[in-house]
Amino acid sequence: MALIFDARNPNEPGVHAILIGVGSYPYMRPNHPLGQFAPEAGLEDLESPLHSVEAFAAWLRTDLDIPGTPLRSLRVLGSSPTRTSTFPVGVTTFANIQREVRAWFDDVDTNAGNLAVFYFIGHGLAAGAKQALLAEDFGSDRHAPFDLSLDPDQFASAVRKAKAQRQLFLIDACSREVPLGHDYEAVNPRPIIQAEKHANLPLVKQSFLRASAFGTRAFGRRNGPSLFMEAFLKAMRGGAAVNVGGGRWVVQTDMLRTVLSRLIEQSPDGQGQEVSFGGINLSSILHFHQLPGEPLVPVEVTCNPEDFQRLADLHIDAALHCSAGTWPLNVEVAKGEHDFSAIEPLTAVVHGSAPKEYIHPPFGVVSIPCGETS
Amino acid sequence: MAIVEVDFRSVLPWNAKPPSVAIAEVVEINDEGREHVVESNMVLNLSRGTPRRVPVWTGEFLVRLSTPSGQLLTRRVRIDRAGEEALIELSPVRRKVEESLRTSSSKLVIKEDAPSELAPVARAPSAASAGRDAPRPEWTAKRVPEAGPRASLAFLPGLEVEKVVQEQQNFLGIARLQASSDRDSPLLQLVSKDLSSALVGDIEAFQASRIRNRGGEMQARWKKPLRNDSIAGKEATEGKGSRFFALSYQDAGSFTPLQVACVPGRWRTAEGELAELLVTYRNIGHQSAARIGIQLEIDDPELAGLIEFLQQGDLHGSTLTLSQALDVLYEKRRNPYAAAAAGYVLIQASSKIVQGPRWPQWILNLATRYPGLPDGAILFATMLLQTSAMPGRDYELSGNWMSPFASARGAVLEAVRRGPPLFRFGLGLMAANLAILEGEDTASADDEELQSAIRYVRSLSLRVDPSQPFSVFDVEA
Repeated sequence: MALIFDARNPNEPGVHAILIGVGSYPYMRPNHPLGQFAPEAGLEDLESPLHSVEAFAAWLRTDLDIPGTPLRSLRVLGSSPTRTSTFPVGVTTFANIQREVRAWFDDVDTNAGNLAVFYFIGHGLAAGAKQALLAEDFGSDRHAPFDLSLDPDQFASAVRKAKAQRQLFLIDACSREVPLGHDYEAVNPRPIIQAEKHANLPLVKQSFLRASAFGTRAFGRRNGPSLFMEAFLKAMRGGAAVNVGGGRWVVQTDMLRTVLSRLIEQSPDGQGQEVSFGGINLSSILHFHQLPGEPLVPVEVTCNPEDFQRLADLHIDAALHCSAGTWPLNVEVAKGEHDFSAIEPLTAVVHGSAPKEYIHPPFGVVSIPCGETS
Repeated sequence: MAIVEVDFRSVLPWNAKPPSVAIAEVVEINDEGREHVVESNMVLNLSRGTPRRVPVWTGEFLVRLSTPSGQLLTRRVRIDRAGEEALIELSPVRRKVEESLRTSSSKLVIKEDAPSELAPVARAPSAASAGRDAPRPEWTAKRVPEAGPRASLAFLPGLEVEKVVQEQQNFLGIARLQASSDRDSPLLQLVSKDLSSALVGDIEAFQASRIRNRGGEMQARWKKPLRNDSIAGKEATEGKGSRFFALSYQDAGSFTPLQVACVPGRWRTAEGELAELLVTYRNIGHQSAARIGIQLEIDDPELAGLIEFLQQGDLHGSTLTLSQALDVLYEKRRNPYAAAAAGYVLIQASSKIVQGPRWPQWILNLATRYPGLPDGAILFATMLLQTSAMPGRDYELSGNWMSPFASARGAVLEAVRRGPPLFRFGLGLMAANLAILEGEDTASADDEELQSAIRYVRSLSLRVDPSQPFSVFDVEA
């Protein structure tokens, strides 16, 4: 059972979300039988997919706020090599993914005011401009391996026929290149939603975000969500928000792309991961989530020279924020003017300060001149 | 007078080329810290260098600049001219010429990036111009003799490769190809035929191009698809007759084709000048798995931004840049290639600003008048299958009911028959259109013509370089 939240009402608009986190790949051990269709060393199991779908599901249930478009259905499928979920998540075999995605599509297709949310995290392979997202049982059929995978670009193109005029696709998977170029017969992921004639190309606003550009990898953590999901949830607090007037701040998907790339790039584990638009069609700007108040903005604060971060505490607006040697990659502050100082803990010597820095979405960069540079 | 410099190098990803355009926004911050958008959605043409001016009064402002690939640069500007109106001027520094531009209050200078460096494998020797000493006949356009062996990507009869490649350039070369647009082969044979035929069709003529070292990169550039007009044909036939390609190859003992790119013929800018096509050897792919490949650019300041936004999949940016170049859109006879790029945005944009009243007819004309340009047929097929455009109401076939464009199926298959699209974006639409036809026909599994077309497009998709706006295919064995 993957439907963990059910407030469906086909007569009323709402958010219909499906989150798929594939962490177990029992058929993709080294010496797998797929030959050139997969990396020779196989594909390792992943812990972060289950963490990611759990974190996203929790946020959708408690924090998502789209005026006039409440959460109406939430389906979660997840697997992990090390644990079971606290949610009653569905299994991540291809057949189950197909069944749940079709049920999700039927919900999405009920009302033009709906917002469809599709999130996939797991392994992906790519050749040329084709990406295949791998289900848990990928590798179990060596005769037609790509039958057990999903082509996200074609999938999003097919979903465009649905009534929902807002559609958000988040693909948090590697697209590691495999030399498939010469075997076009085999690389043929099975369509989950059948494409049909429609008139929605200029009508449906679809935004398709890839956690990593083609040919690159997307990274996760062993005991937590992926870098993409971690950054996504942080961006929902304000980094990806724009002022839409009337004191309202709303997350916008073009800003989301910008801030996600920035936050992931800051992480030592995320080097080379670049969030990009994808899909067969051009991505529209979608308004996704309204903030409860003013945005919290991620700020990269450093000393110049950086050595002072080991000597000094970070103070923000005259309050201690963190101790010497523990400066985080970024801090979050409310939009507006702030004072940043580097102060030695025992002597209270102020090594440097950056007063009245105006911090605003999507992110801030503050360099505190210290020592001779101050 | 405040001067703020913005350097896009600070935010660009590894190996990214500098943007041609940026979208700018000026936001006022009032005393309570609230933001008020003064001006938004300003398209700054960085390569043309045209300044944009925003009238403001005293206060604090944020200037935000976003690039097609999603980077954002923000600068804070204070205007302090009590009681007087002032201007914030956004003044891109033109390529090659870094100059200061005047503003009345504040200046934002946008610097151009230096070209990225090549990996050692492809680094050109300093100041060397490839083949500068080679005899002139090696660089002339050559027709493929009708009698004799057939030309292919792996064999260009009469090309003395050893005379046009250099060891200092890793024996890399670039050739321009001209191929017949008359692909009369039945669709069923497209896949079974050799790769060369499937990608470029019948090669009629070719010309080796000089590769020069420019800023550390190896680059060929040209304005005419072949230097010899008697072979390339008149400019009036652009998009109607032959198709053109760029072939990259290496010959360190044996001739190895590497990539083939679909390229436009003569590309006219809005000023009526012929734009240069730049074919550059660069590191492509991701940093950890970089390999050498060719990248294509058109030196057209008016439309380079549109192509960049198209490549990045950004509808908003594409629409904004297109709205600045509407004359290009509706003067397709001048440049059908640019019209095709515009068409990819037009067909998805809901904006009436960019959609003229008879845009479906305009798409049909692009499809029917330019048989050498598959993109027009792709656009028309997409319009039939994914928009509400209807014959009679939105466009007229002028009684030509035998035209392949009289039906969606005919239009889709005609697009496939014309071969790979000029713009990579078209490949995805081809696949989507074929998937729709396949889904609508319960007997599609037995439809050999349709299945051949599906396999053909899939084979192209698996070979294409997804990081480029033009269709560039790997052909290395």
